[in-house]
Amino acid sequence: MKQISIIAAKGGVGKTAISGAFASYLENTIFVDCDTESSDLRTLLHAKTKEESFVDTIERVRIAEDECIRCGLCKALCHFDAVINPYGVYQIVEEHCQACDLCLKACPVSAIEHVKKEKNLWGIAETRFGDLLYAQLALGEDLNGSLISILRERARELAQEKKSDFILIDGPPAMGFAVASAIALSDITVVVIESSPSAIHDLHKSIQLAKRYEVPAVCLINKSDLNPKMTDEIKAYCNKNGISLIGEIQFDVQFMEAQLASKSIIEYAPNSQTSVLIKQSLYSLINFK
Amino acid sequence: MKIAIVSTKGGVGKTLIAVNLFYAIKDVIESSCTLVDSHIQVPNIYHYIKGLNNPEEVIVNVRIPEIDQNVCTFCERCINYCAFDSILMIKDVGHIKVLDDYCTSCGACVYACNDGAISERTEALGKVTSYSLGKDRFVEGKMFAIRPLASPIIQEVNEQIKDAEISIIDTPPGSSYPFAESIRDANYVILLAEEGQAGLKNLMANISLLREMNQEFGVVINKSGIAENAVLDYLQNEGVRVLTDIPFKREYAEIHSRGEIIVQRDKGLKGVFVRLFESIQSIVEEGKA
Repeated sequence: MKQISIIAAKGGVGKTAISGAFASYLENTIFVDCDTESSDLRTLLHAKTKEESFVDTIERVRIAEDECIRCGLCKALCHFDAVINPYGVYQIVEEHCQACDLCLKACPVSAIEHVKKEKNLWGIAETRFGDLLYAQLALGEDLNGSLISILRERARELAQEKKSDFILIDGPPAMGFAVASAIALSDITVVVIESSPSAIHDLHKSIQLAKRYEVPAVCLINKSDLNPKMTDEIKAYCNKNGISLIGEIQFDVQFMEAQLASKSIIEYAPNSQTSVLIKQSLYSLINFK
Repeated sequence: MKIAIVSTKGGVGKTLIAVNLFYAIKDVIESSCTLVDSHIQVPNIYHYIKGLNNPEEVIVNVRIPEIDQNVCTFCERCINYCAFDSILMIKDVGHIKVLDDYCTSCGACVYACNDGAISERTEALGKVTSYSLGKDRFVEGKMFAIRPLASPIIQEVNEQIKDAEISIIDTPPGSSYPFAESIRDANYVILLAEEGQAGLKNLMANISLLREMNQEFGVVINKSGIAENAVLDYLQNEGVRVLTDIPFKREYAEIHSRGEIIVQRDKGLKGVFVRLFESIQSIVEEGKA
C-alpha cells in the first residue's frame, strides 16, 4: 500500500482539482480530505456520508465566578493574556486561550473547569471512486494537528482492512501544522505549484517541510503557460535541487467548468490534453522510486 | 477604517482583491492607506509591491522550555501538566526533552516543575515588518517555523495598524483563530465568493461564521460570468449585500501571475474597485451615524 499526499503552499493552485482528477484514475484507493476547514474534495466527489462521529480535540475552560477567590494566579500564569479581570471578575478571553489548561491545573480552589465546546467531527463517505474520509473542525485551531492525525490513522486501518493499493491525501492549504500532520508518514508527497510570483518561495517551503518529515517530494506545475518565464525558473529550481517534475499542466478553463458541473476534469473532458497530461503525471507519480 | 478580505477556501482570490483594491484607491484618496498581509504562514503580497525599502521589523518572541536532564528527578509532573504531549521522556535511560514542534509555549511545565529543572529560552516565532510607501504603508506578518501557535504574530500586526487611517487586510484562509484574530478589529469584511458547489458551500459556512461573530460584511463575487448565478441567487434569498463582481478573464490571471497590478492596466476594473471602496465607506459611515 502506498500513501500519497498532495500539498500546496498557496491556495488556488488546483490542489483539490488535481486530487479529484487523480481520484478518477486510481482504483482500490482510500481518499482522505485533510482540509478540515473547507473540505472541497468531499464536495467535488459528491461524497455521501456513511458514518460520522464527534471527537473533542480542544477543551475550553471557564472560571466559575462564585467559586473564584480572586487570587489572580491564573492571570499571572497565563502566557497568552487570555485571563482578564474587569471589575475584579476573572474571565477567559476565548480568542486568546490556547487550551493549555495551566490555569485549570494551578487554581488553588479548583474554580476553573472544562467546558467542551469544540465539537469536531470526522466521517467516512462513499464516492463514485471509493471511500473518502473527512473531518470538520469546529471554530478553533487544530493545535497539534490531532484531528488530521485521527483521519490518517483511520485511513490506514481502513486501507489495511480493505487491502487497498493507495491512500490519497488531499492536504490542507498553506504551510502550517495541519500540513505537517497531513503529510507525515506519506510514501510520497506531490507539491502542486502554479507559475505565480511566489512559486519558487512556495515550492522551497513545501520541499523543506517534506524533508523535515522525511517524506520524498515531487513537483507538479499547474497553469504553466500563465507565466512561462516563472515556469522555466521552477524547472531550473527542481533541476538544481534534484526534485522530480512529474508533470506540467496548462491553464485550462475546463477545470472550472468541471468544478461547476461537480465533476473531475477527467470525467468532464476525458480526452482533453489536460486529462492526458494528468494521467501521465499520475503514472510518473505511482512509479516514482 | 479597517477592511478585511475573507474566504475560508483558498484560491478564491483574496490576495488579488487586496492588492488591486489597495492600488486602485491609494492615489484616489488623500488618507494614508495601509496594505496588510496577515497570511503569516506564506505571505506573498510583497511580490506585488515595487520599491520596498527601509523595513522596520518587530520580532515576535516566544518562550521555549528546556529541561536540564541532570537536575530532573523524572517525577513526570511536567508531563502531566503538558496538554500537548510535547515532552518526551525515556525514564530508563534518563532522557527527557521538550519537542519544540509541538510546544505552544504555555509555560505549564515550568510551573509544574518542583525541582527547578526547567528553564525557558527566548526564540523568535516570527516578525512583523512595516514598509513606508510615501503616504501609504505595507505591513507584513511572517512566521519563521511551523509552530502550533500563530496568534501572537497577528496580534502584533493588529498592534502595528491600530492607528492606520485606512487598512486593507489579506487574511489567512480557514476559520481558525489566526483568521478570527486577523479580523478582530475590522470595521468591514469583504467576503469573497465564487461559483460552483464548493464555492457555494464555503460561502454558506462563511456567512454563518461572520453572522455568529456579529461582523458587518458584504460579498464580492470573483471570477463571475462563467456560469449561471447560483451564488447570486442564494445571496439574494439570504438578504446578503452583494457589493460587486469581478469578471473571469484569462488576462487577469496572466497579469496577476506575473506579479503585476491589474488595475494599473485595466482602467475599467480600477473604477470597479474605487466604487467598491466608496460603497464600503458609506456603509461604515452610515453604521456609525
